[in-house]
Amino acid sequence: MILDSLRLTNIRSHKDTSIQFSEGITLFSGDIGSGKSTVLMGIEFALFGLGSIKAESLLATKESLGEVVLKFHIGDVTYEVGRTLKRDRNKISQDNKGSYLRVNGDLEPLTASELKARMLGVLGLNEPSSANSKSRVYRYAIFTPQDEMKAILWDAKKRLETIRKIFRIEDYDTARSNVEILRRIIRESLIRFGERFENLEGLRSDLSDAVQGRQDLAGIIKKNAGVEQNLAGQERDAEGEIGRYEARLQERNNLRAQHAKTAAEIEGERRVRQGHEGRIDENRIRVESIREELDAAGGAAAAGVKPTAKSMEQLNEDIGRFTELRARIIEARSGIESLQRQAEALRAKLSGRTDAGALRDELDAHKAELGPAEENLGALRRKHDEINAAKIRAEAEASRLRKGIAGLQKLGARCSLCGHELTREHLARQEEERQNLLGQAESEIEKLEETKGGLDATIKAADARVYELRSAIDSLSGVLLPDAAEYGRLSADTERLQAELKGLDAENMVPGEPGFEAAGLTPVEYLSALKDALAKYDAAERRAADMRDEAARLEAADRQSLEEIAKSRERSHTLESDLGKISARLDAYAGDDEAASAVRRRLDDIRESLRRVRNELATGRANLANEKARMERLESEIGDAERWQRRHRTYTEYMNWLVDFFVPTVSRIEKDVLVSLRQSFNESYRKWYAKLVDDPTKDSVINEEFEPAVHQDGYDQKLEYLSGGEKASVALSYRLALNFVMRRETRSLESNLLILDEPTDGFSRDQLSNVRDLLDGLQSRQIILVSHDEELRSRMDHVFYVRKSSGITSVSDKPVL
Amino acid sequence: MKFAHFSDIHLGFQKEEFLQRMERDVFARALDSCIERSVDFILICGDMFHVNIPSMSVQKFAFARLRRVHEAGIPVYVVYGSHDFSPSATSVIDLLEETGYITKVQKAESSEDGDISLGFVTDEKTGAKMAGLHGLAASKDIEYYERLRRKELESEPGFKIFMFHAAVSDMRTGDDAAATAAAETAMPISYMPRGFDYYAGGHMHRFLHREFEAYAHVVYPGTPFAGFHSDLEENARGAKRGYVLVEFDHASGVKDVRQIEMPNCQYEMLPVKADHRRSDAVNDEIAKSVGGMDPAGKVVILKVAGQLSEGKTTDIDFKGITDRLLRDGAAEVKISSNQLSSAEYVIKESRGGTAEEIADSVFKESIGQVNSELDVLTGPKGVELAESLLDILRRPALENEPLNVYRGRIIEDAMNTLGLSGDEEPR
Repeated sequence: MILDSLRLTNIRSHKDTSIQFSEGITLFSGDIGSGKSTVLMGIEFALFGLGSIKAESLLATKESLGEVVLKFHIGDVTYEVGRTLKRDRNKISQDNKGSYLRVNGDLEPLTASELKARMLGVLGLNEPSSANSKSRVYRYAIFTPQDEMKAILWDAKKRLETIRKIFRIEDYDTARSNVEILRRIIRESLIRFGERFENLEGLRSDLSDAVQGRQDLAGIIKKNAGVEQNLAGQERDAEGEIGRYEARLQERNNLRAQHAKTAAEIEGERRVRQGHEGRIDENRIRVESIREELDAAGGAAAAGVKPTAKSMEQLNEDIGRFTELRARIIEARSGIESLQRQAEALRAKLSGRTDAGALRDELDAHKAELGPAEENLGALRRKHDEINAAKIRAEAEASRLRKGIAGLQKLGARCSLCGHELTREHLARQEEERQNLLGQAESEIEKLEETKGGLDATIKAADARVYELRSAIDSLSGVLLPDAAEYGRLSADTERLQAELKGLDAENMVPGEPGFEAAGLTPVEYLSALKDALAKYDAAERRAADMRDEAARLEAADRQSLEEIAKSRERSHTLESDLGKISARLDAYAGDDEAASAVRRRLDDIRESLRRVRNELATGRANLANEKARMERLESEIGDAERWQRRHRTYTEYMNWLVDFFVPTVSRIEKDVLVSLRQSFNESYRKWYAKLVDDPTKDSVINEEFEPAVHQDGYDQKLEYLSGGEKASVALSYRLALNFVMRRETRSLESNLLILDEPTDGFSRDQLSNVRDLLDGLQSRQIILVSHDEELRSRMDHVFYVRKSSGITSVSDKPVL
Repeated sequence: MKFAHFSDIHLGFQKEEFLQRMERDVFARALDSCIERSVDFILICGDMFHVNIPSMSVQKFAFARLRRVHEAGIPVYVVYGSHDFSPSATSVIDLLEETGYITKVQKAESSEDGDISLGFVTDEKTGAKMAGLHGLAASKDIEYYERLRRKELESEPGFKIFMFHAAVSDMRTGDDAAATAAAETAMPISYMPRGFDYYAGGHMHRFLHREFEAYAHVVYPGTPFAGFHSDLEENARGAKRGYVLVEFDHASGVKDVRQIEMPNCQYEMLPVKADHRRSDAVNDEIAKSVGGMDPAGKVVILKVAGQLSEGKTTDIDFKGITDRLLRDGAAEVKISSNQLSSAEYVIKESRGGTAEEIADSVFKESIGQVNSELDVLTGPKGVELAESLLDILRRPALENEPLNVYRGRIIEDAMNTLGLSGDEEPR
């Protein structure tokens, strides 16, 4: 697998990142936390989905949709794999609609979990394919996240399990346990097969008994067959004789039958004649009865006189017409009643003043009086207002004078206005002058008050009249006049309807039929009675006609019967002559019965002997068949048993082969595979270790449990006492060896990719300078490396600079200043 | 006048708590003893630290101890060793020199023609003169000696000490292969400049003192505790550890050289030979030996070597043994198992190839043993049948497949492949 490109959309800090991969060693360089490792997570997610990665840690916070598209190729086949993450409320999951695989451009829409199984197949990875199972082989041998790099030193169980899984060593355990089951199955089969041929000897002895018995039976059967043949000849002769007697018996029986038949025919003719004679008597009685009945009714007058010349249809029509007329009369009467009730109500409301002309004259008189009354009232009111104004002016003058007098009384020796000295006389004069004026004003007010009082009474009277007029006008024009008009209209309608009713009553009459009197009936009742009488007359007419027809028919039948009686007498004569001839022929067969019975007794004896010999023969033959069947069964059972015996032998051979050859050889193979694997692993591991740890006193090997063991001048070093750089060296060497050996040993693996996440943590400058050398030694076509160590930049084929600014990662193949 | 001579302390080598404490305790006591004895100065001839940048706790300890020495007015002269030197990075030795607690002795200058000339450092109080060369990793320092301008050094007057960190082949004894594990590329004594009063060495971990013509007193004090695991083994065998105290004066030169022993701890050594034995037998033997041992307070060294005839090396329960010893009070348990292997898991002739290819070749090898009248069970047909059957039987259950369904399916396929028709009527 060679990676071609990767596109990350909204994956962690990658808003929209596109990366074109090349072969060789590619370094993603950048500060811690810049988003380098996300590129690796993106690759893993694209390949295997969410098994080892949490969706929550992948989708950029605040984004609802994220996507990863990875393109790679294996040989000539190109692959493009896409996966989508979706946030639904707080849950983030893969969107099945957004996952797909393109193989050489052909789209395969696959669900997220189908896609994982497909990718494991494409890459040849021996991993569980369920969507949420964690990847182990990939995580161990191809890509290890930084925080898991050194885990290889500690987790011995997981390490060995994974290695056994990668190199399919556990398969030998599986094979061993399966071969045990296989052995058990074969062992059980052997026991069953053994049971199936354990009675073989008994079967063979039974078979020889059966052969002897069969020969004895055959002799007896041959003798009995001769006796049977002889008896059968005698039987045939006797049967021939009986056959002849039976033919004569048949002839006699036929004649007897003819005799009986002819006698019966003669009797039949006699019964025919008797029947005809009986019917003639019955008919005569009936005809007489009809004649009597018709005579009693007096011929055609039997039905009486026809009540009317009208037909039934005409009568029905007349009844319909008069029924309708009656309805109209009832309707008119009720209309008149209703109108009269309404007119009476209005008349009461108008108190008898129903004359509209008188009411209109009254209204006109009121309207003529209203105008002058209103004018008079307006003049009176204006005058009232004038008097009122004059009164207010006089009251103001009086008030002013009163204040002036009061002011003079309070005044001292000097004028407050002009400062002139005031004399008592002067003051007294002034006061008197003002008192005079006040007296005039008060008399004026009194006069005005008096005038106003008179005027008020006049205005009140005028106002009352105006109101009275307006009320009368409103009442007349709004209520009385329309009611009077309505009353007039109702009276007219009543008269019109009464005239109409009179016409209808005249029309409601019908002329009586001369032969059908019916006094005191309404036309409808009369016509209905007439219709009933007509129906009764018609029925009586039809009955008389029917009886006459019947009498004629009966007389014709009697004539026919007399003819038939004559013919029957002739046929009886012929039949009696035939009967005489048959009786004469029957006499020739007397004596037959006795002779026939002697022959029958002889035949019975022969048959008894024959039955006995045949029974013996049948028993013998059945026994012979039984013996034959038993022999065949025994032969078949012996064949089966021999075949089971042969299969038992074959199974035993296979069992021995499994136990003596297959099982021990598989154990040898497992051991040899392990040894060979460990040798490759160990060689590879030691090579990387020696490159990374330049200390001749130290060496490290892979032991039989695939543990890395470090020795320092011969003594075992506990891994926990190693320095950070040494631990990183052991871990990296182990990973590289695993990747290298896996690529070499596992032919089915299609991944020659190696991904390393911060592999040089704790490395010294000297060790860093060896890293390139080390990676070249892997002979891997493509290696992806992530490191914050700037030292490595100058040593790799391609460098991507990863940088985060304002929370968003940018990836560039040029350094950003 | 007297000075103390140390080397190969390897501070920071021990990782386990008890041994780490012992490593520091021995060094602290040794320095205290120097202060007590009022030595005039101290020499440390390389590998004071196990690595050039040891952990902070090691540095803190070393600084505190050397500060006490400094405050007691005792100068410390140092050359780098192969462990605490780095060609590219700073060493903790440089930090110590910056604080003034120690003085680096190497004053080398390269001339245009590639020769190296060394200067002397003179101890103010005693007037002793010191020249020295740092040790380098993997004994690359030998070529320094080859390019050394010896005449200048040899003609210098006064009491002279040459400090170095390198293995000298002439110092090897018959049984010290293990002690000089790192000295496989030793140089002859003749590489050294002649005529010094005292050759203060480092790098060989065992206390050695020899005199040669023109090379008076070539001395390795050895590690005061243990710088390698093999040192612990030597300790267990009774090796004496400590530093060297040297008395001298200008008139007569070196007067006395003796090792000042610094006792460390008790040991139990358990060597086990695994050759031609089954893993369970070896396990039993170890359990028995451990059962008869009183490990309380001791460092237990378990050394298992050889090739097992049957079983895996991982069958030997080192973890269980360690836990048991620690439970019984052992101070620490050291295990050496890198010389242990298993005949069953050693590939004598590599089959190579994938698992399928191995299966094919093993089946082919073994089919000859099958003795059957049935053609299909023998020869190439037998191999083919075995391979098909293995292929079926090793199939794992499908996801979510109930066990009975899975087994039914596998057995049916297997029976069909074998051509066994079961209870069907035979024809």
